[in-house]
Amino acid sequence: MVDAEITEKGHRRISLFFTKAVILAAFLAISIIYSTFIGSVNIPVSSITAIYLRQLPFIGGYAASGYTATQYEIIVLVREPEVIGAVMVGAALALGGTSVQSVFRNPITEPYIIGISSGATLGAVIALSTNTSIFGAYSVQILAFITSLAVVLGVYFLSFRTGRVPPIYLLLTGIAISLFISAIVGLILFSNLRLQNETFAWLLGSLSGITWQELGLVSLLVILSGFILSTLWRELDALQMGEPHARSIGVNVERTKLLALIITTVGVSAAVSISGLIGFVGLVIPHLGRMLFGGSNRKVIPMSAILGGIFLLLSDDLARTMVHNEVLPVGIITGLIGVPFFMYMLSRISRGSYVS
Amino acid sequence: MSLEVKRLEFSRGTFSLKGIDITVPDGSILGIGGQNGSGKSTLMKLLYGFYRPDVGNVYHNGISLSELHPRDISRKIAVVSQEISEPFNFTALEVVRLSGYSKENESISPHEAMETCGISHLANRNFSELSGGEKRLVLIAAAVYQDASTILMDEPTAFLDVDKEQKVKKIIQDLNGLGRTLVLVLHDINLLNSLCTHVVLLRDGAIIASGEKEEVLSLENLEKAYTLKFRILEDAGPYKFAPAEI
Amino acid sequence: MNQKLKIIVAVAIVVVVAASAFGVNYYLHKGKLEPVYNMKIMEANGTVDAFNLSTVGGYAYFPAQQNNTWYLSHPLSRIVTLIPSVTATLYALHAYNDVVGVDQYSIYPTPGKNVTVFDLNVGSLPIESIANLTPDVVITTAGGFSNQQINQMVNVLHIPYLVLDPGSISQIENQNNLLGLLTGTSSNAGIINSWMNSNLQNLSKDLGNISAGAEKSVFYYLYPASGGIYTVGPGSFVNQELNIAHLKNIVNISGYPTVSTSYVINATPEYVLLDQYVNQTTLNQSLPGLNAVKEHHVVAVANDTFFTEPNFRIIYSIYWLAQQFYPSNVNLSDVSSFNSYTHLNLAQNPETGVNS
Repeated sequence: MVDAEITEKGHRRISLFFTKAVILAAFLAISIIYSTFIGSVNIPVSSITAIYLRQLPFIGGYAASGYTATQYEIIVLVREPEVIGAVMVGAALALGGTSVQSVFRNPITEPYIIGISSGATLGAVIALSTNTSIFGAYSVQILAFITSLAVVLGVYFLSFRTGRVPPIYLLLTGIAISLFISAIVGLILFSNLRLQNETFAWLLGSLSGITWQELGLVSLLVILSGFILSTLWRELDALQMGEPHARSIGVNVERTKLLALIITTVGVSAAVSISGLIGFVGLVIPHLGRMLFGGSNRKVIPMSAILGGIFLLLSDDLARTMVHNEVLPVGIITGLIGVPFFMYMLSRISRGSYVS
Repeated sequence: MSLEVKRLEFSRGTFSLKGIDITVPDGSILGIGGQNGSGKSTLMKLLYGFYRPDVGNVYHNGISLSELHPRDISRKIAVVSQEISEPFNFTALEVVRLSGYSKENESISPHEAMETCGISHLANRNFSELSGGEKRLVLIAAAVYQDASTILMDEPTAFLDVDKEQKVKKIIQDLNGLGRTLVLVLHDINLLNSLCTHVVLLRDGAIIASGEKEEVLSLENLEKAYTLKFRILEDAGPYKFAPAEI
Repeated sequence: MNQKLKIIVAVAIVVVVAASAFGVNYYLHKGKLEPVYNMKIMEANGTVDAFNLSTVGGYAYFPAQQNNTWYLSHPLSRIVTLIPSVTATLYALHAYNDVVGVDQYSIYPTPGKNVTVFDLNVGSLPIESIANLTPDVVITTAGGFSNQQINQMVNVLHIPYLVLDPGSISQIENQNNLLGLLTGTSSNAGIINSWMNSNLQNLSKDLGNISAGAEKSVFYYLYPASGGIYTVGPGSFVNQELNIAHLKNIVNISGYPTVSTSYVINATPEYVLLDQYVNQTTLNQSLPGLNAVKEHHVVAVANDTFFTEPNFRIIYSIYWLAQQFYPSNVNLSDVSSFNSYTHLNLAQNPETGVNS
């Protein structure tokens, strides 16, 4: 009797979840298409539609013309990679936030806290200041990616205590090392005005200039990391209950933490390498996901990725169109939207209605 | 012997456990008593492999825990910790279901486990919003759902209302009746006396006495373990021991 | 320790795999973003000349198929210039008709209706709007824009990116020649350079009787920076302007350094040259103990574009400086008429800041 009631409720919950998920996915698809229709250059809807048809495999060759070569370039080479890039970066940051918050059992952490941001900045600044081209056109991005990984690993090793990595140790080490590296970055930037300008753009975060080439690889890493993280949902759920509890139900705590952090770092670093430091997505979106879909990572991980993609995409649309002939760094927009949301979240936390 | 501790030594900071030898007989309720800071909770974390002993080993059915994967340990030993982190926005049912992580077969459903503990009505409530006692019962239900032959509980009755305390005691006795071995960390001497069949008394990380309850719970041993004189109250039911000076 | 070792190995593998994945991508696509210093110019008749861009303090990024060469059979006719000095030079060369886009600081000459004006943020290029103009080249100064955007511009949209940053009068003259060559207005470039040279010779005669010991010492207060004052030093063309006007710059740190107030006080300049964007109050606050300030030996620059933009107009600023400090020797009206050379009316007076 009681069981039947609960199961029925459960079914209702599941169908509600699918409804919400389908609505979100549809919203993402609409946002993607909408985003390619807007920009500082006004391109007629008919031309954009024709360009879309042209891009379709097999039948594309028969598509009508009705657009100029410049319009084709703007849509296919400038807007499309930026739009897909926004979705990928947003998804990576939200995924990273979900996993890091679970590992640290802390609602106000984000993936940057373990050294990803400072590491990536260091790599970018080194590449810019030495003008290196060891990795060709993508030296800045690749160096940022590698140093970001290296710094996170350094933080991890420094936090090693008798075979374990206590989360609080990891958190504090991450903050300390981040500050240390920021000081080094400051030292390199000091009295180099040009470098300051370029790094400023990096620090604010921008999705402009993303090319299909880099996007291919970054998408692969982000999707892969998202997939692996979503298979870790039980372990991440268990970690939220504290390490002793997770261990007692059979979770290999240390391995899970290491795996989750490495996968997160790879995904987020890849995203950050092409976007610079975009704040607040990783902090705020996972909470939005939990408010909408409950606490279990089974739903929160995939849904946060979609929410993150939508959030960053719409923020970028604002950044691109708010001022005519000018592109604001998207990090400014996410900050402007993210901070009020964060304050709202804090008030809910303090009221104990969400996490006490 | 489901659980055995042999010549175990473990130190962390200034605190250390030394010369720990314990045998937990199958089907018994073993209580670990002692003052605050005597090493009870640390010992419990060693019993399910969360900490790794510096010297010696913990054996389950003759196999050292350090040779077992956490998954295999959790099929044999379930744990009800006293300190628990608040998960983000989990329902009580989700918390219970989580304990099925390593289960091979669904011998008991999460709902049945919750019913056993009389908390079916809490299933869809937010875990963070439950009272302390309700949370404890959810965690016990989780351990029941985990369906291990040995269950460790750290202070299962601490900070509970009288009715919840009785409920927990009843569940413990029922589980024992079903053939489970229980290891309880308890600071309350009268609980050790009324609930357990076997008792280990710790002091400063060393064993004062261990064995069957009747042998261990002597006034002499209690004085050693708690640096306090006790007297025996006659006809006081479960409340047999009281400080001598009251 | 053994476990640590295992993790180090695992981590090293991840880093190596990731870095090599990027490396493979790089070699697959051979994307390059290396500054070219030695470019070629192929004249209409087929002869190829080498041009070293270091002679204009610049470099270029070429799309791969352009092979580091400008083909003068098609002089540049769609130019986006994002530096005011180049915009003004193109105007003087009678090539302003070829300009299709400028930055918001290119106010000389006032942009026409068919010229798009870009509001430039630090580090952010309005790529979409630039691409929409289908320019032959984007000319800008060093630094300021993100590598990622430059890469998209050059390697994806195939727009050459030319950086000009002359640091001396001879480099300014080379810049005139280069821009003349690229826009098919070489003869005008020759005229502008001879105008510059004859005026410089005249000035040198006028100031010939001022001995090295009698030169007045100055400090150019550009603007307050964190930790000091932003100024000019040896190696900059502004410093050369001071030297030609027989003024001694008290700063001996090269480039555009930030110096501390004690550095300035210690060097005891006789005069302070105050930039347009710094007011007297700021000066009094930051250098209260300086004798030049106490004695009101302060010369305020009304329009610093004459001083800080490296193009032919610095002739006016040099004469103006000489007039301010040695009025018995030089007068601004001594500058020969630009109009008689180039048929362009040019306001001579940097003091009023009027561009006509």
